[in-house]
Amino acid sequence: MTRIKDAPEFQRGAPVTIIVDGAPLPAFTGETIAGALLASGRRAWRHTRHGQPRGMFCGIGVCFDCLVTVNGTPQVRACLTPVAEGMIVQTQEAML
Amino acid sequence: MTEQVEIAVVGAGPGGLCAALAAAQTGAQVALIDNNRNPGGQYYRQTARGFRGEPSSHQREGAALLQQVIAAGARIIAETNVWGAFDDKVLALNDGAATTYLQARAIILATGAYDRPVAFPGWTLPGAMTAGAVQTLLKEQRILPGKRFLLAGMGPLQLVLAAELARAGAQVVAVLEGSRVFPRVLEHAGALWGQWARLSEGLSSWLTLARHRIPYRAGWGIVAAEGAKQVEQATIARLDENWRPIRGSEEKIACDTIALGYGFIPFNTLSRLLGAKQEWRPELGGEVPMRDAQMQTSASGVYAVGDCAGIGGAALARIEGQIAGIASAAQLGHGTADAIPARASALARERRFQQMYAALFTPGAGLYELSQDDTILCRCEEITQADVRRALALGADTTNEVKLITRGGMGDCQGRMCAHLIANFIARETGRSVAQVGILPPRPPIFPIPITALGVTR
Amino acid sequence: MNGQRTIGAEAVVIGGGIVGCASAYYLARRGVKVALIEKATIGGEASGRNGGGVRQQCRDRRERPFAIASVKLWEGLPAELGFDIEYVRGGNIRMATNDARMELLRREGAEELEDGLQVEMWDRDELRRRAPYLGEVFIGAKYCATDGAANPILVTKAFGWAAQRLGATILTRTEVVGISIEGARVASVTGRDKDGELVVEAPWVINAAGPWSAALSHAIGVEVPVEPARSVIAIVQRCAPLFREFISSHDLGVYARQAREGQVHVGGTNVPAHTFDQRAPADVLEHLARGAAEMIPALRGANFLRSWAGTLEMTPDKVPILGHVDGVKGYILATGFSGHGFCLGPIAGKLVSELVVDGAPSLSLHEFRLARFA
Repeated sequence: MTRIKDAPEFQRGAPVTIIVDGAPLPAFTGETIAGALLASGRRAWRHTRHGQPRGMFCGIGVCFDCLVTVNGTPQVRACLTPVAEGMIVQTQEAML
Repeated sequence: MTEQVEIAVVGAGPGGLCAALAAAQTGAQVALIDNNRNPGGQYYRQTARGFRGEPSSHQREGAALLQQVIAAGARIIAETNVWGAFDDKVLALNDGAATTYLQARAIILATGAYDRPVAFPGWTLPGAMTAGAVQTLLKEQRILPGKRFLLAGMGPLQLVLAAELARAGAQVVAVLEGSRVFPRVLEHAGALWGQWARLSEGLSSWLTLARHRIPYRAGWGIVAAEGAKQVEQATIARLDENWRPIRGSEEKIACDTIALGYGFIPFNTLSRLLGAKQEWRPELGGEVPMRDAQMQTSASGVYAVGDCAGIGGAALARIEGQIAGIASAAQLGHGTADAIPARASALARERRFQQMYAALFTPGAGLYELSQDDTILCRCEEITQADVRRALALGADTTNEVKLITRGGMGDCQGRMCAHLIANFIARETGRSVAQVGILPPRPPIFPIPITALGVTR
Repeated sequence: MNGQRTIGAEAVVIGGGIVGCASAYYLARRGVKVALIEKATIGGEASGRNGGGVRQQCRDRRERPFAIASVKLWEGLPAELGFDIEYVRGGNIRMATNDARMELLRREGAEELEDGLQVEMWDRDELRRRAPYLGEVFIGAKYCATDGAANPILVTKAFGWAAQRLGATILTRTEVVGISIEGARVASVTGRDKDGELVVEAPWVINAAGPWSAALSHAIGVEVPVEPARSVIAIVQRCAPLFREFISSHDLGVYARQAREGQVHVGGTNVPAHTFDQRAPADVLEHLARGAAEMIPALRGANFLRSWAGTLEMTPDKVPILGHVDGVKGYILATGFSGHGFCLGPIAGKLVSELVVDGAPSLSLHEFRLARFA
C-alpha cells in the first residue's frame, strides 16, 4: 500500500517510471514490479481463468500468482522482476 | 559444454555461505550458486541495490559472510537457477540467457525452504499472503503491502514480523498464535539456554508489541477471510489442542492484509532429483533427505544443510553448512574432518532448539481441516476440495493420482503450493498417512526455463 | 496370514495401459467376466505419458486400416465412456523443410488416398495460410483433417472406469509374477500385491504389458521381440491458444500439441534411446527446446515448465504384435505398438474382444502375427 518513510539517511534508489497498462507508474530503482504496484495501492493485477483476482501471495517466486507481461514477454513473475525506466508492463487476464 | 568444479554449493543463504566458506578455506575449488542478484537467502535478505541506508545487523552479517566467501577464493555464480541434476553429479544451470552444465565432485544443497501455504475459505483473496512475502517487501524494498495487518500462524517469527511492521508504521490488528505456547514453553526452557541472540530478539519484539498495544492471542487461528475483491475482514477463533476452531468462539476482525506464518516447507526437490532417500518428518516441515552425521545424504557426495533438510533456522544452517563444507572437502583430499567434532556442542545446542521448536510449533490436524469443499486447494489450476473428493471417489488414492485426474498440481507452481494441502486431505479422507499418500514426483526443469536459453548452451 | 487368494474369470488382461483397459472394456461389454492386472496404476506408463495424438496419417501401410477403424471408435468414445477425455479433432499436420521430404509426403499421401484416408498436400503458401503460427523453415506439409488428439491419462483411466462399471475387476499395484499353462492352454495368472500372492484363473490371457510383455512371455517360452525405448516430452507453461492441430516435423525432429488449458506438449521424433530409464536427459531437453522454438516462433518467449519420459516397446519392424500365439491356446499378445499405439488403443481392445468372443477378428491380423519374426 505504501512506501515506508524511514529515517532521513535512508534513500531509495533513483526514481524511474514504468508504464502499467498504458499509464505511467512512478517507482524507484531496486523495487520489483510487484513492490511498485503494491506501493501504489494496487493489490490485484491478474485474473484467473475463472475470473478471480490475484496479486502477490508468496513474494519469492514460487506461487506464480503475480504474473504480468513485461516488454511483450508473458508469464513474468512481478515479485522477482526489478523495475527499469520505461519498462512496459501489461497485467494479464487468464490465458484461456 | 560441461564445466568442472570440486564442490558446488547450491543456495547462498546462511547454510550455503558457511558451507562455501568452510570448503574454500581448505583450498578446495568451490562454486556457490544462487538465484538472487544479492546472495543472502531469506535470512540475510539485503535491501535492494540502489537503496542507501543503514543495513540491519542481519544484513551486515550476511554481507560480511559473503565477503569472506569471496576472499576465500570461492566463485559466486549469482542470478542463476539450478534447474536439474543429471548423472555423475552434473547440475544444469540457467541464468536466463543460456544454460551451463556444472559437474561437481561433491554437491552441498542449501536450497532453504518456502512458506507453508494454508487453505481456508478466502485464502486466495488479494491481501492474503505469506508472512515471507510481507517480510521480503519490508526488508528488501521498504514497502508495506497493506494498512491493517492480521498475522496468523505460529512461532516467534510472527513476533519479529509484527514488531517490524509496527516500527514501519503499519497497524497490526492482532497476532494469532495457533500453538498454546504457555506454559508448554517452560517444559523446554533448557533448549533456550545459549540462544541469547534469539531471546534478545524475541524480547525486543515482545516489548515493541506491548508498546504498540498489539494483541497477541495464543491458541487462536484464522478460520476464513472475507471480502468482495480483496481481504476486508477475517473470521478468527480459539483453537483446541489439535488446532480445530472451537465453535462459538468465532470473532470477526477487520483487516486488509493477512500474513500467514505457518512455518516452512523444505525445498528438497534437488535432493530428490539427485537420488537422495527421503523421509517424512512433519515436525521438520515435511519430506526431507536422510543424512548422516556429516550431512551427507544417501547419494554419495551429495550433502544437504539448513532448512532444505529440515526446518531449523539460520544458526543451525550455519553449523551444518560448516560441517558439510569441511566433510566434503576432506573427502576430496583437502583438509581433514578433525575440525568437525569441535562443532558438536554448537550443533547439539541448535538441534535442541530445533526439537523444542518442532514440539511447540508443529501444527495440529485442524489446520488442514479449515478448507471447505468449495475452497480452492490448487491455486494455479483452481481445483477445489470438491474436485479432489470426486477424484478420490474415482479411485485415486495418492497425490499424484489426484493430480492426473483433476490437474491439481499441474500448473505453473508444479504443486509447491498445493501438494501438501491435497496430500493432507487425501490422508484424512482415506485414513492413510501423508507419507503413504506422497507428494508429487520432481522433474526437470524444477523452475521454468526460457526455451531460448535451454537451446543455447554456453 | 498370506493365504493364497483365487479369482475365477473368463479372461485376464495383463497391463493397465490403453490397450489393456480398452481390451477389458470391450470384453466386459460383450459380457465376458474379465480381470485386469496392473503393476502400478492405470495409465501410469506410456499410455499416460505420450503426446496424445490420435493419428491416421503417416503410418506404416499395415497399420493404416486399423487407425482408420480406430478413429471411428474414437468419435463415440466421450459419450460411450461417459467422461470428458478432451478428444479434439483438430487435424494433424506433417511438415517438410525440404523437397525430399515433400516428395516422401506426396507419395505417402497418394497411397493414403488409395487406402481411403482423406489427406491434402499444402504448398508453402497454403501452409502459411492454414497454419500461420509455424516457422518460416517449412516449405509445405501434408494435412489430415480427421486426425486429432486427446488427454492420454484420462482416456486410459476412462476405459478402466467404464470397464469396472460393466463388471470388470481391475487390480492395481499388483505385479504379475507368472502365467501358468495346463495342457496346451493358459490356465491362470499369478499376481503379487502388498498382501501376498493371488491367482486369477482364466482360459484367456491377454498380454498388453508393453515393454514388460517380453519378460512375462519369456517365462512361458514365448519370445516376444520388443525392446524398451525412452520417449521424452517437455511442456511449455500455459500460453494463449496458438494452434489446434497436432503438428510434427521429422526434419526438425519434434512434434507438438497444445492441450486444452494451454500448455504445449513437445516431444521428439528421433529414434528413442534403448533403455527402461525414465529420466529426461539434458541433451534431449535441449533438442526439444531448439525444435520447439524453430517450429513455433511464438514460443520463443515461453518457458519449459516440466518434462517427463516414458517407455515404449519397439518391435523390429515397428508395427504391433496382435493376435493368437501358436502353440499356447488362449494366449493373446497385444503389444509392440512401438510409440504409435495411442490411436490404435480402442481398435486393439475391440479386436481382442472379438478374438475371445467371436473366435475371429473383424480385421485381419495377419500382418501383426508373432510368427512373422520366426
